This record gives sequence, C-alpha cells and structure tokens, in this order.
Amino acid sequence: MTPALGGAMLAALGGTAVVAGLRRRGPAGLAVAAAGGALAYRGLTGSSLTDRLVDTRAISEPRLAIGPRAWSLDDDGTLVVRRSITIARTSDAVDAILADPASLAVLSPSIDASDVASGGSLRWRVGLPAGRALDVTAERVEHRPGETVSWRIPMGLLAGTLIRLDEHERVADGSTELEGSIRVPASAARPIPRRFLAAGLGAELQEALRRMRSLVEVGELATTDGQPAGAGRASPIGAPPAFVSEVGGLPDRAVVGVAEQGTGS
Amino acid sequence: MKAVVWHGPGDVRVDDVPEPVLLRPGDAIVRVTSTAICGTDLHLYDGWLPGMRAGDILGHEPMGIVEAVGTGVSRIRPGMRVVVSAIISCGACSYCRDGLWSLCDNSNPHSESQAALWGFGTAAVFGHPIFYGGYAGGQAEFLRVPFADVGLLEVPDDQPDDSVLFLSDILPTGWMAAANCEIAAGDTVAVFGAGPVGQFAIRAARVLGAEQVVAIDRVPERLALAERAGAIPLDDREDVVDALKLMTGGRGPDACIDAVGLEAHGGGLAGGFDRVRHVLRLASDRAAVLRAAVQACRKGGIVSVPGVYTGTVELFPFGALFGKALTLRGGPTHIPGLMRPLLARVLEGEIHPEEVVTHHVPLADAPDAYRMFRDKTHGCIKVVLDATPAAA
Repeated sequence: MTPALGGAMLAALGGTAVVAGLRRRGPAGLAVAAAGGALAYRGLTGSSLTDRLVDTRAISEPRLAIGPRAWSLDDDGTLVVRRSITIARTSDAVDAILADPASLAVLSPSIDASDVASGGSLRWRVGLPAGRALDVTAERVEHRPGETVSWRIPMGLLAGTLIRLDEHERVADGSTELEGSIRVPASAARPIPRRFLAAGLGAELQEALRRMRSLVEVGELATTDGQPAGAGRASPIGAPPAFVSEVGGLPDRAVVGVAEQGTGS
Repeated sequence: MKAVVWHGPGDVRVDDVPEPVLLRPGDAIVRVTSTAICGTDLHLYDGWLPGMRAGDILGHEPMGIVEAVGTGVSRIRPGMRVVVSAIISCGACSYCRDGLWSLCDNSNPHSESQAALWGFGTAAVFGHPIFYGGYAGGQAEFLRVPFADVGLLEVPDDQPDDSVLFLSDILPTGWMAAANCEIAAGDTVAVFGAGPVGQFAIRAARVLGAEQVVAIDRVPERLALAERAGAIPLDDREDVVDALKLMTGGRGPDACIDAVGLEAHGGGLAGGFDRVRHVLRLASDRAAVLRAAVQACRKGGIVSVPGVYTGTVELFPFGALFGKALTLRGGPTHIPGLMRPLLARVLEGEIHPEEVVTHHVPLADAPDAYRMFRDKTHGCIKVVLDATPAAA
C-alpha cells in the first residue's frame, strides 16, 4: 500500500469516526469524535497530533542548525531551556544582586525566601495540583563574578538539572546581557511531557530574569499586592508584604520609614 | 476612603475602600484634590479593555497633596502639591533613560500577559486592568504612587487645579500626537475626534506651526471649542476624505491624527462589519477612524495615533499605507518626560488647559458623570471630579 493510499484510508476512517461520534452525542461520542479527528489529522498531514502535543519525537525532528533556540533537546535527551534579558547596568551591579541571598529569594514567586542559604543555594517550593507541593533544592556549583553562576539540583524529580546564568557585558552602552539556561537531563521529570516542561520552565526563567533586571535597575520589585480594592473582589490582589504592618494605616500621614525589601536600596 | 470602583460594563459605583499604604521605598501617598474622567476610562467603563475585574479602582488623571513618602523617595516631600503621571515609569531602565517612559521595563508587575500578546511588556498605567499592571486608580481620596520621584510633578500653589491637572495625561497625549506629525511651516493637520485629547492635539499642532488644522467630529460643542482654538470644523458624517482634499488643494493633509481609538463609529460596509463584531463581542477594536486617516492622508504623510487600541483591527488598508509610503506612529504617551516642559508652556500662557473643562462634579456623583460623558449629554466635553472629603 502506498503512503498516499494509507493516508487517505486513515483520513476516511477518522472522518467516519468524527461523524459517528457527533451523532452519538454525550461524552463517549465526543471522545470517539476527538479520536477520529486525530486519525484524520494524521491521515491528511502524515504527522501525529498527539505526538506534537506531548511526545518528544515531534521536537527532536531534524531542524536547520541555525542560531540558538529557546528550547531544544540534545542528542542525549537533555532538555535545554534558554531565555535572555538586557539589564541597563554593568555586570558589577548584576553581580551584587547575584551575591545577595535576599535578592535571590525574590527572583521567583515560588522560591521560599527563608530557605535561601548564605552560600547561594536555593530552595523552591513549587505548588502542585490538589494542594501538594514539590520541594526543590539547588546547590551553587560555580560562581565567577562577571561571567557565570550556576546551581545543580542534586536529588528529587529534577535531579541532575543545571541552572545557569551567563553575563555578557555590552561595551557599546554599558549594559549587561544575562542569559539564563536550564538543562534537564533525560532521566529527570520523566512523567512530564518535554514540551510542557519546557513551557513551564521557560516562563519561570523569564520571570526570574525580569525580576533580576528590576532589582538591579531600580532596587525594588513593583507590586500591587496589598493595595486597596473595592467591593466585588473578596480581597486585594495579594496579601500585603510583612513590613506593611510596620507602616500601618498611616494614621498621622507623616514621612514614614518603609522597611527595606529585596536589596534594600 | 471613597473611590470610584468598576463593577462591570456600564456599572461604576462610589465605594468605601481601604486607604492605600506605602508598599515600596519608592512610593508616595497622595491626597487627591482633583481627578478627571478620561476617554480611556470610557473604554474601561464599557468593558472594552481586557482584564477588568469587579473591585478595580478607576482613574489615571489625578493631582493632589503629598501625604507620605517612602524612604527611597528623595525629590518629593510631604506637603508638595503635585500632578500624577498616568503612566508609571521607573526612571532607571533603558527605555526610561531614552525618554521612552511609556515603554518602561520595570513598572508593570504583571507584564507577562502583555508579553504573551504583544511580544513585550510595557509600562503600567493607573486605574487600568491587570494587563496594564493592575494598579489602583486615582478616582479616589488617596492614591499610592510607585516610583514617586519619577511620576510626580510639583506644581505652583497659585495655579488652579484645572490649569495643571491635565498634565497627568491628556495634555501630554495631545502634544505627543502633534509632535509625532513632524509639523513644518505650511502644513495641514487633520485631527479625527475633537474630544479632550483631540482638543489638545489641535492646540499643540497650532503651537508647533501648523498653518491649517481641521477638527473632525459630530458633536457641535466639541467642534465649536475646536473652532475657538483656531481649527476648521468638519462634520465626520460628511465625505471627510473629499472635504480634506478640497481644503488642501487636492493634496490631502500632511498628517492625520486619530484621537478616537478603538470605539470609533464608521459607516459603510467596513463600519457595519465593525459594528457586528463589536456587538457580538468578537473584537475590541473598531478601526473606522484609522481607515479614514490612512485614506485621507497625503502621499508620504504621517498618521499619528494617540487613540487607544488594544487588540487586532480588521480591514485595515495596509495596501494604502504601503502604496502611499505613509508613516504610522502611535503608542501610549511618554508623560513623565513631557510634564515639565508642558507646565512651562502653561505657565507662560501658551496653552490654557482649563478651556476643555465643562463640568465639575463631586466624586460621589461619578456614576452619573460617567454616563453623561459617555453619552455626550449636557454639552459634556471634560469632567473633573472633586475628591476633597467635603465634596466627596
């Protein structure tokens, strides 16, 4: 049987299943229709919809080796996620933040600040469905100021994962390009489809770099947590930071001292 | 405190809400004296900007007295009388340093949604949905102002609120719209929309040297106000493109300003298409004015867009834009950088912002004021809300 004939038969079969499923109605009918749609897609395009959504084969297809990619799979199955950002300061200012545990603690919403060790190791608590949480510890394995800093996760679901930040000072305007990368070995987080893992880690990395830039450039993170909101919303956008209680409701509205946060600038 | 709170499309109320507190060292708290309703507030009021949530406090054109400052604030002190920039800018990122304040990298704590939709996040704006940062707005008795050293401008005590209030948004917006037109001596500028921003674009175009300014609208009092500022009034229900050609020796305006934005009314097939999609809530943006501006503009001219757009526009005549080699400019206004030079022009008597004010209303009556402004009844062009406790 030729590929074209096989594809046509698959498409016809899938189409029939779609029609039958929609006629039957109900959840089972919808499932049949969806499966038929996937078959038809495969028959018509020659590629698998489900593979493209969840399987590693779709993302390991040969591509032109031109330029860096935001995420990719190495030959050994290691998932590599990359993001970069430009900070309008020299690398000295970037290094000052990277050396400050308190600053590292606020780089991600999911990092537990109290668990950042002075040696630069990090501890995340990542929320999972059904109220569960995943604790992740990363040990700092390299720190060359002005060049690179990296952490390795020694155990757990993401064991062997390497998180790395590389600095590149731009002579032209005195800014610093900061490239972050996360390398997840093939053996880690196996139950999670690589595409989804790449998307999640990429978003986390991007947000961390954005916060890093803000801390370096302005010494604080903009926030709306703790601001007033009107009736109709159960609570403000988020709980106020701890130091707000020190300020209170500004009863006398004098010049008040605000407890330092983050870098304390 | 009292604040104007959004509860749903067409539903704003004055609620009792908690007073703001300092949340960051760079913050200030301002006791609001006057605060205006902007045309952009009408987009929010009607629910056309994505992400509004019941409970959001509206308002991005406030001024008042500084009540408290954080330890990181150096230029601003309690007791100062200040105007608040609608745009929130950090003053330290590469964009702020380049004068592109509305593209600030650091002021929007929720910029990921913009980045997902537009590729990059931009500056936050007071009283806007979380897409624009989600900061509580200034139609309230008190306002927390982040990066206070950047976004607050001290104004002289002897200037009435009405003469300096609009430095917060619409005066810089009208000014930048005209400045984007690169006006040269002898130029004609067509301003679509003679609302408050259009009024200031008209005045700015005159100050910047336009020989002829045409104000296009359908509201008689707006056209009359534009005429008093030296513009030629033109009813937008006429054949605008032909009329503009007639006024320019067949060349067309050197620049066209879209001071209407996403809620434009248009006729013809394209206008009907817009209306159907809008009614069905399939689209947020109606591009009738944008189409007309591209059509009317002379070859090689400039189309300047201070009017707000948020999503996608359909039936945009990109072929005309390309074929006529037009330049399209727009974007939120770089307000912090324009406030001081424009204050100087106000103090010199070159611009009289108070001219556009038609109504003063206590904060408590904001819901009625919103309806009046939206429906353009009672000759309403611009509403200023009095937020002092006695009025509120």
